[in-house]
Amino acid sequence: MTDPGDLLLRWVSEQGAGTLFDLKQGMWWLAARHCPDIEPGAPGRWLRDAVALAHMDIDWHNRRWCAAPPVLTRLPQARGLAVLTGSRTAAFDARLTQAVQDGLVELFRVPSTRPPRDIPLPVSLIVQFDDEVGLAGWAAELGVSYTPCFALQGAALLPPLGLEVRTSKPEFGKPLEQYDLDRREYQLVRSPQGNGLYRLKRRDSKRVCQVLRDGEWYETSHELGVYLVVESLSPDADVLRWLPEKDCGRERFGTLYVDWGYPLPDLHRRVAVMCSGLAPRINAHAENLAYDNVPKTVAMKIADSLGQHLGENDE
Amino acid sequence: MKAAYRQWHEALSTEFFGAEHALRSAVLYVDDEIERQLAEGQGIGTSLAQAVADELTWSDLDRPLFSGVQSEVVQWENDGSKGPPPSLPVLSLSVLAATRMASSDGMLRSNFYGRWIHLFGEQPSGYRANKLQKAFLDVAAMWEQLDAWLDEAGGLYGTSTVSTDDHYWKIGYPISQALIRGSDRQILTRFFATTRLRPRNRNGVSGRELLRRLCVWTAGRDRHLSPRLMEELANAVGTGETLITSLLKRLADDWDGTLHEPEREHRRRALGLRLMVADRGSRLEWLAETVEALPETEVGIPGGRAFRLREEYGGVYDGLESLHPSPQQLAHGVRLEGDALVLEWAPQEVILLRMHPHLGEWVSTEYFEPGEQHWILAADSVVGDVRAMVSALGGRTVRQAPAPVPGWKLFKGVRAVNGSAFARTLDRGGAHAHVLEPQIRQYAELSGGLRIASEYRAGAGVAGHFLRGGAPDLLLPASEAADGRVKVVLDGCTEKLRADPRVPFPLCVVPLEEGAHQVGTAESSQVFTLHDGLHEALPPGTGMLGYSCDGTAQRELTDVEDPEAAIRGAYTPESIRLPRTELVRRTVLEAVLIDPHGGVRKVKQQTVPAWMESRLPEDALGPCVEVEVPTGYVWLVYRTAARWSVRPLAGAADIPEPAPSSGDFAWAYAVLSAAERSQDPAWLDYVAAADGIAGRQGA
Repeated sequence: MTDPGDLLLRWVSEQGAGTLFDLKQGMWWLAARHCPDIEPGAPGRWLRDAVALAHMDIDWHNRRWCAAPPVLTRLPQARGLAVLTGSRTAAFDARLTQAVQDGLVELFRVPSTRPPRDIPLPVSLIVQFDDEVGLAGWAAELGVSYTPCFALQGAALLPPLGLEVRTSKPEFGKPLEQYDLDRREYQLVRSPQGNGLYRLKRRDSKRVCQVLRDGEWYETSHELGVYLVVESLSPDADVLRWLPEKDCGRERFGTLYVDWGYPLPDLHRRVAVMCSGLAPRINAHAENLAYDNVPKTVAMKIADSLGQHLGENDE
Repeated sequence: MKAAYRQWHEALSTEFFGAEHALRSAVLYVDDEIERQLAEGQGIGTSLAQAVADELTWSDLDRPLFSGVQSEVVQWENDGSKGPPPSLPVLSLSVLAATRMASSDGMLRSNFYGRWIHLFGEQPSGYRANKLQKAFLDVAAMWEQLDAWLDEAGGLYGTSTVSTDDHYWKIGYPISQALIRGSDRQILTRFFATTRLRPRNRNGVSGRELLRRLCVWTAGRDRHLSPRLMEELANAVGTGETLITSLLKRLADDWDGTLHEPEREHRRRALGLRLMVADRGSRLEWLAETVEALPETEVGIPGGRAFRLREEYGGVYDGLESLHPSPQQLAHGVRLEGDALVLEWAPQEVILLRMHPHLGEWVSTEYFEPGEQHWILAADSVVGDVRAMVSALGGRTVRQAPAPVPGWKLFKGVRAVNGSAFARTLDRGGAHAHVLEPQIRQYAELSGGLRIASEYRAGAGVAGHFLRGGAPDLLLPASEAADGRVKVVLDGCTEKLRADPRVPFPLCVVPLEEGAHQVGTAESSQVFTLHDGLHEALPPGTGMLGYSCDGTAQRELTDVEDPEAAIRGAYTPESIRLPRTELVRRTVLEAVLIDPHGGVRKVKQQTVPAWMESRLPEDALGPCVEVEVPTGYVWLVYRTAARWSVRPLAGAADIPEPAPSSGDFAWAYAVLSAAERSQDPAWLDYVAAADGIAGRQGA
């Protein structure tokens, strides 16, 4: 196994859990051998894609991660395709090879394209089935959980946007940054400049994001913080857009476009990715990410959960 | 033994091995000036040389020249080796000879004996000179004895710095003591602090690495080290293990982390400041790492502001935030002094930075780690040179950016991915190539790689367990060979893999089986193991994090208490009922769903969606109809080019009796299309019901 994406997933799977620091160290080391053109940020982008592809779960706040258990789940209206996600240990790969040889399903190893500045992703294991009962049985034989359709089920579970956990205001005199939505970056500020998303380093050296709204400070993550700010400051922005497919009979399915600078939170991204089982396409020209095969209902649930309405153009 | 010799023995014992020297590096440095001071201080009327000369046995040809002193030493041993050995004046005289070696032609081997013989007032050649030179073998034995005595005393009289090397051998002992004057020792403790050596050299930095760093530290700047030491430094560079490297190592291994300041009773700890480029290159800060047993202290700019330092997370002090690094500080250095601590930044035009493991920011570092990413902060005056140097490393990731201080630039993404380009860049040299020099090692070490099973690592005699395909890099020890390369030994076979020790040797390019492997050089090696995988079941920790669900999922990921009730990866608790899906993997021309109450739902034919055509392999795109079955529908009737077919959508017991109304002609037509295609009794009931509607229509 020399493909760096698959090797990394094997490594993650064999470890089970760990700290982000160790993981990124290993990724840089591997990338130095296989990906001479990668740019800073590549390990972080790989990890976000691996989370979206449901291979792992990451607690960014506490800088730790775990491999996700293997799961077989159908893709919504994808002509009888399912995707096998999660941990891929050597023992699991051996069992899978045997199960595929024994028949019943057909397995396709499908790559997700990434530019040379990024670390390649592991291939998606796409399974073709004829009968859902048989598919669930095959999952049981392989020893993996069966989720009938993660995209639809996960979308139904997405929590609404909200401010919950109050926190203290930033310490006076310590460096403070405010997120600039237009520039898509944090900028140093001398003191809080009204409602917005801020970033600071706490005494324990953890970098945290906090939202200031009407004089009160709340804990948040960067992704949720961005949407909290968009919701309160520019409610008309359409950073999430959905465009139906043009094919006959597929009007309820389409592509979800998410602008750069407005990253979906991990769970939302996973719901969107599990519609196709493949990582989002990167549109460098239009500066957005495109998630394929997203049912309109799922796109609307994602948007609702982030306090957004769905726009309908792809630019 | 004459009175003058005894007086000298006493004076030298007090001066160099008194109680105040306990647990500190002991250096027996005696030059003309110190000899004079000691003689005056102690009122000794005879010179050291004369006192020693008076002990020599010239008359009896059968006895060794130093037999008088030797018998005193034997007596001293028999009495339990109390206090410094009686040979001390002889040894001190040999140091005096070493300090008199002319600086013009370096410390050549022959030069020492010339001075040694001259001290005794003898002619440079002849019988007596020859005998004095030969007798030095006994003096060397006395040096070894002093070294052993210091070691056995466990530091009570100081720790030994008596060293030598193959080149100097006998005369190396006195030279090792003559190299480092009192002032040099003071400066060297500053150097150790600035290069952020740990007390007692706990990280085991090698002598050659210390030498490399000392040369960088002294390059282009007068650190006020003695000319003799500077000369030895210049001669030693690139020549392998030398007297100066072993001496530096001994001094470093003994260094207790304090400055050599006898006037302050060696109380002050010292440490080099680091420079931190924070917030992705937008801010510069001074960073002081914590010193053991000093959780809180105060330092200040001499005659200026004071700063209260407090230990915080990540092994660093809090409290220097208001000291903003200025161009002046970078150009001239910074020295912050307190009663307990001295922090210093030595000015440099090119500063190498590496990601700090705990702080997550770019922090200045002493050596380059090939393979890892670095940043370089360079003064404007040298930006061109640095750009040329880092470009030569290859790769396309280096970016130049403005630095958060005027007059400087930042180079981001500096890494040595290509081994040969890295070696070429180092060989080319240049004023700043030292910044890219990796650490010089004494032993083979493994670095990087994809480690697994780290819980098994400790104490097993194995450097680590690695995933196959992710075997570590081999960091090689410094080479003694003329071509500067070392031979790599793998699993007992000395392969002709001669490698540049500056470039990590990538073991992942060697196809290796699962299991244990031993790798290194003939002198030092490491054992590591390779595995495809270690766990039959899921490794511990898998799935421990998730989004707990209670109606909806939690916004934040937490440790999962009930694995069944949390989203983990693509596992989700069943929250909604999904419609049943039915698949027909044939080219279907038309299809309908049928319910018991006369309902018919036409299934729309679908083409292959564009995303599937562009992203999936062709084999996955075969004919298929995927039908979402709404609740209540129990039969699927479809037509291919060959024939009609029918498929039950529920178990036989779950299919209700047909109950269409008389006008449900479309229902009847659909059922009758596939009337013959199943003998299922439930289906036959539907066919009968359809017949009824059709018959009525016919009537």
